[in-house]
Amino acid sequence: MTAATSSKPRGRGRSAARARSAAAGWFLLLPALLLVVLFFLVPMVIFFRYGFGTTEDNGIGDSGFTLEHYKSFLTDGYYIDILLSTVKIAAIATVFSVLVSYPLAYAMWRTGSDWLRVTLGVVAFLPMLVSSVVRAYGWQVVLADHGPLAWFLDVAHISDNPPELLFQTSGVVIGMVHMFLPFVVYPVYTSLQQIEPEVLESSSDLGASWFTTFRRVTFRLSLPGLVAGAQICFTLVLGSLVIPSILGGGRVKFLPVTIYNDTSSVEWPIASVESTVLLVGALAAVLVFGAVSRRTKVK
Amino acid sequence: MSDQGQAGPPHAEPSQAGVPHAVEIRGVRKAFQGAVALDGVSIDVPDGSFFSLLGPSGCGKSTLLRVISGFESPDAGTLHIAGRDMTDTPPNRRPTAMVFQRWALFPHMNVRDNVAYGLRLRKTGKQRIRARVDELLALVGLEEHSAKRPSQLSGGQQQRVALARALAIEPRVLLLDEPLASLDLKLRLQMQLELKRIQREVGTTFVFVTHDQGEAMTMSDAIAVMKDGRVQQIGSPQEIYDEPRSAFVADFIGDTNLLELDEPVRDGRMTVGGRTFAAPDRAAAGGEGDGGCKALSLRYERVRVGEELDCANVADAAVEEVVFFGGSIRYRVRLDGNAQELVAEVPRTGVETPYPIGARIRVGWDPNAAIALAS
Amino acid sequence: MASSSTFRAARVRRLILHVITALCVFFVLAPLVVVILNSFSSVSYNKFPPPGFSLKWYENIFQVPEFGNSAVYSLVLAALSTVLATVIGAMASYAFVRGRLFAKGLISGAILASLVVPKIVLGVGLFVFFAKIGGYGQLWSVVVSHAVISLPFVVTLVSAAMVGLDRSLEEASRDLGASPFTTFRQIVLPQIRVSITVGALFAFIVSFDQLESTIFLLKPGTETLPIALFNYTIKHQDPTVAALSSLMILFSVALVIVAAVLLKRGNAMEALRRTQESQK
Repeated sequence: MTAATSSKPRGRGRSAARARSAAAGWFLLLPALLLVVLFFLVPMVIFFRYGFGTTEDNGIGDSGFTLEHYKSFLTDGYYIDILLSTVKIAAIATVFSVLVSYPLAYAMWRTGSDWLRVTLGVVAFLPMLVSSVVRAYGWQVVLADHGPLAWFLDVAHISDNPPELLFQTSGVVIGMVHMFLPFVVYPVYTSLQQIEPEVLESSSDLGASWFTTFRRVTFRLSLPGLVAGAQICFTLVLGSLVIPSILGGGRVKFLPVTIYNDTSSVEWPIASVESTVLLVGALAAVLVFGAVSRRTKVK
Repeated sequence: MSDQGQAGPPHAEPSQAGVPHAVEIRGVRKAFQGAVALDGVSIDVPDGSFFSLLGPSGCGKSTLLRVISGFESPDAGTLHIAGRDMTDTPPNRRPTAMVFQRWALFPHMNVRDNVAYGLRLRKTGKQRIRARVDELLALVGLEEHSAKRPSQLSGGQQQRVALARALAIEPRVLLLDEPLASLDLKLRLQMQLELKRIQREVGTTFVFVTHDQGEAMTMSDAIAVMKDGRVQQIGSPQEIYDEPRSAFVADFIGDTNLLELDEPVRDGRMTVGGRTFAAPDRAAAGGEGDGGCKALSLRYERVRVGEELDCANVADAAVEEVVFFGGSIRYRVRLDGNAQELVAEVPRTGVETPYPIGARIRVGWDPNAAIALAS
Repeated sequence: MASSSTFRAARVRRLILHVITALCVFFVLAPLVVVILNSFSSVSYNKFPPPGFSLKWYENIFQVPEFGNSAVYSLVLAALSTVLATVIGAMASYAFVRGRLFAKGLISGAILASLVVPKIVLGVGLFVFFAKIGGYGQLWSVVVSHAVISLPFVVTLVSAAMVGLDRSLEEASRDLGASPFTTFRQIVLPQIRVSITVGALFAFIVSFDQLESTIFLLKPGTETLPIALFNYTIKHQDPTVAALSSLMILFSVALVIVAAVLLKRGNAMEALRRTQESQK
């Protein structure tokens, strides 16, 4: 700020001021942008390139162009099996996550006591703070042959021949529901919270029973949160490795596990194809759930 | 802060009187995504005055204030503050301080820290800050509340804190963006007088934005009336009221009848709605501007009502509506033989009963009570 | 008559709700409790209830050097990536909310995109990339990878808090003579402290628990704690894992308490909810 400012030609100074403000914005954004471009977008592009590379030159597969890997993935029954099994697990896990989360969120919303609300909130949040390996291990112990579940079923005289859950799809699903529960509870809770009490009161005032009010009003209005939660759950399941490895014990077919094994044995082109398929699946889920979510929004 | 404003820079364009104006705005334009907010505004704000920018919402008055404070940079034109070119100076280097519409008090600081904020930035000594803050809190009458957070104060008190905070840095120009708009009526009237008192005491130039003509009239030394990004008229409250130059100004300031002329004034006579009346001298002498006089403004209180009237323009009329104000009575009447309506506001001296609706009366006005308008 | 049956129905509904809620809570806590119980077991094979009490599995933790080394590595890694993600995330949030930027939507999309990319895909991609450019196995490459993963959490949380800020407060500060930087430090930062704390905490947890990507990024010999645990769990079945897991659960609970203390002034529940929303 000196008198010299005033002698500058009008236009230049002004565009300089505007450029300064824009430059400040870019300066603030630059580190984040660099990080994301250099260590996320570029690596992804390079990696997906491998799915089209020929392995003839040097055996790695970062040159040439071929659709061979995609063709073999999409026509080989082995891979199709894995893909179907993966989608099935993700779908079942999502459904069960919603079934377990909804009552929890509903209770958090409906309870009159703040203490209970906070307790339930913390309980729903707590698993997120515990390492996924620890939780997977916990379920491994619970579901094992001589574990607590078998003991309980025996002691309660329900069955002395416990169901086999470990290293089965069912075991994997149980672990995943536990893993991703909080991601469903909170969106549902949030949309329940946005329902105005007057709406419910006017429904019962108009003669609707609790169940009718729940079905026609409460549930309907909580759908956006439910769909959002389901979407998060579905995409997170598609990316999980720990649960299917530990609770699947190598016997449950799951695409991320296959990717892990193929990468370990330096099969990069096929790992790239599998990853692309997984990513496309995740993005498709985002789009589908997004479309459903738009239809459930009231406003 | 004040050191920036007081030194006379070599490149300043001095005002006629030699003392630089507090603010000199020349040909300022500003558009937002094609929508013109300021369309060639030029204003001089005299040093030490209480200056109001008055106009309906969307007239550009707030944008102009933000140009003065530096939050918006004009697309064209220049801005001098205390004689120095500040067109491209960032807000923190301008000798201005703003009182925001919703006061914008820092919620995480108490009253004292809010007021001291600008002084601390200037590395003022602790003792001096303390003394200055005490002085300002006394000025706005908040000595008792210095340890409170903004959220613990009433609207009127928050507004005083905002004022003290802005005055603390001894700005050359204090900018006020409708600071009274969110107060209730009674408090607003009280704060108007208070603001005027404070302005007299500190002698700082105030630039005050408002859409309330009463507020502007009460407090201002000068008013700039704005519409659609242009200045319509600048003058003292009395000038603006008595000699509006356009129908818009006449209508916006106070209550007035707008009379459209059927044809230009000839031989001191004019026709309104088919009837002939004596024209005001100034319209007869050629009128305002080049286009001549096309309309007249006739204030409600300048229209007289009664059976015996001794003014030059008189007409028979019928009462169509009566509004009883207590201190005065307002009649809407229709002149006989044409569609021209007039509103008259008659002071009530005694206990007389208003004319009923449908009553036959005479209305009249002194030719020079009507003001010739350019447009 | 009618009203008493209505009230009875309401009581039954409350009871059912309580039972279902209790079952859900039980489901959430059961594996964690079982892990803790099992860590005190006297036998190495899985038997419930444990036939006897012993602390030998806790002692055994210290016999496995990988655990100690990997714990240190994990803490260093989480701390570095948290600082990185929080600082640049807060900067970017401010630019998003206040800046006049070109292609804002596209850029924020790019930053948030890593949320929906399956972590294992990200891991393999980064592994191939670092193998190519020569950063494979080095600490910095893992730090930036973790920062990429936790950045969206920081950005959504912090920009959500900034959107709620009254812009005129910043203008008032600038008007009173503060530079943009001073304004950020004195006016913006104090108001979004809670969100930044939650964001940093989240970045730390995400980094500390991250396995799906990290497992590809480390050379054999270096491990993070979850990976060490993972490898041990795959190979061995003894309760050493339970003992270490118990310690980690304890650590998590401690972290919750620290967070609660830090957030005492802010509304913790609100922060939790916002954290959750940031995952959408």
